[in-house]
Amino acid sequence: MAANGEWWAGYRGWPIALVGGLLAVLASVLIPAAIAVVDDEPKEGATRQVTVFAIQAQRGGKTTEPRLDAIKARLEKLKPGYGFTLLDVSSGSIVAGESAVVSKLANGCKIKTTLTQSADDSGKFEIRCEMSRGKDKPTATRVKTPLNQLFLLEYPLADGSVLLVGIGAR
Amino acid sequence: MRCSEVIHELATPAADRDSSALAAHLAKCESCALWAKRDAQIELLWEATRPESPSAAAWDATWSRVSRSIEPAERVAVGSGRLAVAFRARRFARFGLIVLAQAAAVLLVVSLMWRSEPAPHQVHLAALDRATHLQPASGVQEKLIEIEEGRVVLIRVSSAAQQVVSIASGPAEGGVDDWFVFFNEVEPLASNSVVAMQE
Repeated sequence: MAANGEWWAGYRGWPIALVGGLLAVLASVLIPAAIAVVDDEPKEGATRQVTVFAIQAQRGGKTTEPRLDAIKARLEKLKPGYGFTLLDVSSGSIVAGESAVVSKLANGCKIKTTLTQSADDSGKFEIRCEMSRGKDKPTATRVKTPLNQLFLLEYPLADGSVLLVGIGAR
Repeated sequence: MRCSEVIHELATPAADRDSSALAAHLAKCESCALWAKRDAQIELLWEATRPESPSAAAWDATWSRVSRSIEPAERVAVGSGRLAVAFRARRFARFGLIVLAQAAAVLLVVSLMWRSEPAPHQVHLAALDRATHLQPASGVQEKLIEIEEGRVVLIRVSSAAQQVVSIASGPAEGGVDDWFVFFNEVEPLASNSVVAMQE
């Protein structure tokens, strides 16, 4: 067929082949570019809804905070003779390597919670919590814990009160 | 049943669900009962507003239209010389497209392989990131505290030591998990969304 050139004479499909070829080349350039853009965005599995809250426990104080009703009994059992105040709550989606900061705390304290591992094979995530106050050296705690489960950190404050920080992720 | 199991069961009902245990928990736990009520309301709303599924006849009609549109060449009678030439030309166009698609696929694979090689600066950043997270300023390795499923712990932190105290190892009486309920209640109280900072 190619020897007598018959197919060239009647060939009218070249515009389709040309357009197809251009599209194929374009796809080979655009698809990797698109993948690169998607790769730069946080992966769905790596995003965690992290919630951090801070409660101040004052010896001899009174718990008047209605938002603490659900755990008032638990807190009183945990710290008998203390009154509790909910200082701040922060919640948001972060990816591994990002931090959640809670700063509306007593005595100029600041809590920086960094998601270091979004989830391992057992479904646990890893978090690093750093508590800093003024010029003191920050105290860091690394915790690996299951999702949908709170844990608490207790920091003694200079005025004799205690700062309770709760952290959980979904 | 624990609160988290009940919420999971309500969200994604399993075939072998223990309905009596579920009902018993809902009767005792106000928080989960409220969740179940909201879940039922959303289900009702969806049933009331969802569009009708297309009938089998509608699907068949759609597929036959699609089939007709993508296979016109098969309906061309290959009889006269002119039609035969057109048919051959179309076959050649298809052949050309296949060759070009294969070339594009090769280009694609090569470019993806090239991309998967980490750039030197990426390796450096990953190492730096790990070092920043796992090593405290003093250079001493931070101890990792691992918490078991279902156990709520309090970690007493002082400058000298960290003491782990278990404060709950399961749901309270009636299967109500107070800390889980509190977690659900405190989450929407967030005055501001988290200030996320990239290391």
